[in-house]
Amino acid sequence: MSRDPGGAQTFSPTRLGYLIDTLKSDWRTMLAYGVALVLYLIMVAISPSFASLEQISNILNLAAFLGIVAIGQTLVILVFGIDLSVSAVITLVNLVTTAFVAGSDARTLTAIPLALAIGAAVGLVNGLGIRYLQIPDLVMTLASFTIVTGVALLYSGGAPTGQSSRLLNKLGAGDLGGILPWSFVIWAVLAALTIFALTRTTFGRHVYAVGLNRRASRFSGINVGRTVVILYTISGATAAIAGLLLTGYTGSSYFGIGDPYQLGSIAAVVVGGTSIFGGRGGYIGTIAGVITIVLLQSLLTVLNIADAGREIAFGLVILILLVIYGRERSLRQ
Amino acid sequence: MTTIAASSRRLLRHARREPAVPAVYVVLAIMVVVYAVLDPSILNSDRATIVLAEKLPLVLAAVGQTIVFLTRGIDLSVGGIVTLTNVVIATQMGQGFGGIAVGVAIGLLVGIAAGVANGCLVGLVRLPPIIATLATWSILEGLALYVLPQPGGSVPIAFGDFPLRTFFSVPFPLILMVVLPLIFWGPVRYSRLGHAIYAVGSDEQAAYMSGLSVAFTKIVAYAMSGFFAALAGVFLTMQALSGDPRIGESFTLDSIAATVLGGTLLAGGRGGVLGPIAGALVLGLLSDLLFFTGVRPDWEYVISGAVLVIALVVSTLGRRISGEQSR
Repeated sequence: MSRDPGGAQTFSPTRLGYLIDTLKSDWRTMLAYGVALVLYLIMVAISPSFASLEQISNILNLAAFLGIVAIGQTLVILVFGIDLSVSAVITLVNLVTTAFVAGSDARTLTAIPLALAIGAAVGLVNGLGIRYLQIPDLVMTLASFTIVTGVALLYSGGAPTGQSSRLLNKLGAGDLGGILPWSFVIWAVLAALTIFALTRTTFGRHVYAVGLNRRASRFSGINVGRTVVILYTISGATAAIAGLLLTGYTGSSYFGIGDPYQLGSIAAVVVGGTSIFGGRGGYIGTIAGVITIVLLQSLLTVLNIADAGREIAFGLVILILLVIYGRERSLRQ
Repeated sequence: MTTIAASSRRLLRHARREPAVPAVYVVLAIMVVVYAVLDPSILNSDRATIVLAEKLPLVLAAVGQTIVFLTRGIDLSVGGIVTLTNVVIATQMGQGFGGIAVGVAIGLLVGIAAGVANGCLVGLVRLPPIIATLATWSILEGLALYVLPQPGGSVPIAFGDFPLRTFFSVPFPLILMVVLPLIFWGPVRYSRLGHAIYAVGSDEQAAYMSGLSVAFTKIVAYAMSGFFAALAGVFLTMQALSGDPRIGESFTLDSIAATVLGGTLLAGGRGGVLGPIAGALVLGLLSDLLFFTGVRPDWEYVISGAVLVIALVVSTLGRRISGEQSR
């Protein structure tokens, strides 16, 4: 959007112009992309192989998983919520998919809606609990994290079985024309849909309204409850999609497969400039956040820093970025 | 107001105002009864001592978490502090009374330092607590891995035996559960600092405008959480007798659950530590009970989560009935 001399916000006529205008109006998003770029340049300087198509393709593949989970997390955080159950959903979908598919391409076709249903169901329960039982989002998603993890334990009896199919492997780890990972393609499509929904639809405007001021939104006629429930359902569904693709990528299942995506998704959203209090930010920034985090993880792996260093560095970088653009308003205002 | 009558009146007023607290004690009482029926050996004070010693760390961690909740914040790094304290003690503690004392002191200092760091990030730099403590959790876990990459280390057996005693048949851990929060939180609670903590949690802006140092208050709150988490780590080490860089993982979520079960609202400004003490015990005994009733261990997670949801629904309904919360 640009402001005309009268102060009203107008939309640039071209899509590219619109994108540029949006970036300009939200400096945090631009900063997030800047950080990602700088990080990438550092990595190429340290290890020139990072400039190779192969490496880029690999990074995009990994980024897709986090990026898809971050779609749901972004939506939920935009309305001042949080979803702590995504890692459990990913793990459950992973376990169920390998056991159900057992290497069969045909069963994969049924596994996809099944996984989506699982994720959406968890998300729906989250949303309903938050909306109708008045349970704070933190605790509700925490509880569902516990329950879903428990269900995963029950289902697998502690010993993951089955394996992924060729079709799923292609989607999770294969690529289009040798360069563009299928996961990335899927992510790109979902990302475009999300950005479109958030910026161009009424529903998207409602999301921002609810995030900024729930009460005022309700008085404006927005169905806050329904919006919140829908968003949590989507969060569960995107976690499920990521779980499916991850299953294809790893080929098998194991406990804890979803764990890195919990902190990772929240961090990606915040690093991307979306306010943890909702109402400000969006998925465009999250994309930058996702890339930053994936690059950071790759960098730490390449530098051969042990687990310890990775966790420390991860936390530190998030803190630094937060200091730069994630602070709360000063009390003096 | 030191007369017994005055104190009882105060207790009753408090109980009526915070219906969740007696509620969780009722639940606890029921659980203890069920436990005693299923396993009468628990009534033996030696056996009870062992069980209670096991639950003590979570009780302490929950107390710390509650204090932070009172400021309308959250401390996700509790698990990290517990872990770091554990590995530091396991690697640094020497023999003999002096060695033990030094080890404990170092462990507690680590926790307080981490807490102060959290407090500065939230209070001075003004980062949102949920992300700030999430990041410090990661850093602390990393530090723990650095100090002790694989489970190991050891502590003197005398150290591990410390909580395993009784006084006039009362298990020492039970005494500790009451006395430790009393000593370290009690004086703060009724001081100006304590009132500041409640004020900041209720309405930060108003607290600021009344001249309270919001930053300092928050630093103290998070420092106390760090202290109690470290204390939890100390007692956990007494139990484990060694170090493990993953030992504290469950403490973050469990301490939050215990705090919420104990009736402290996430919205801050209300609640106290009595509730979470019982909340932690409820959580701790729950898994034991599930084991006894022959429920397969796989169900433990599912039931814990369900219990949490049910408890929340009940307490929310209770608040609505008592008129404190409209819709």
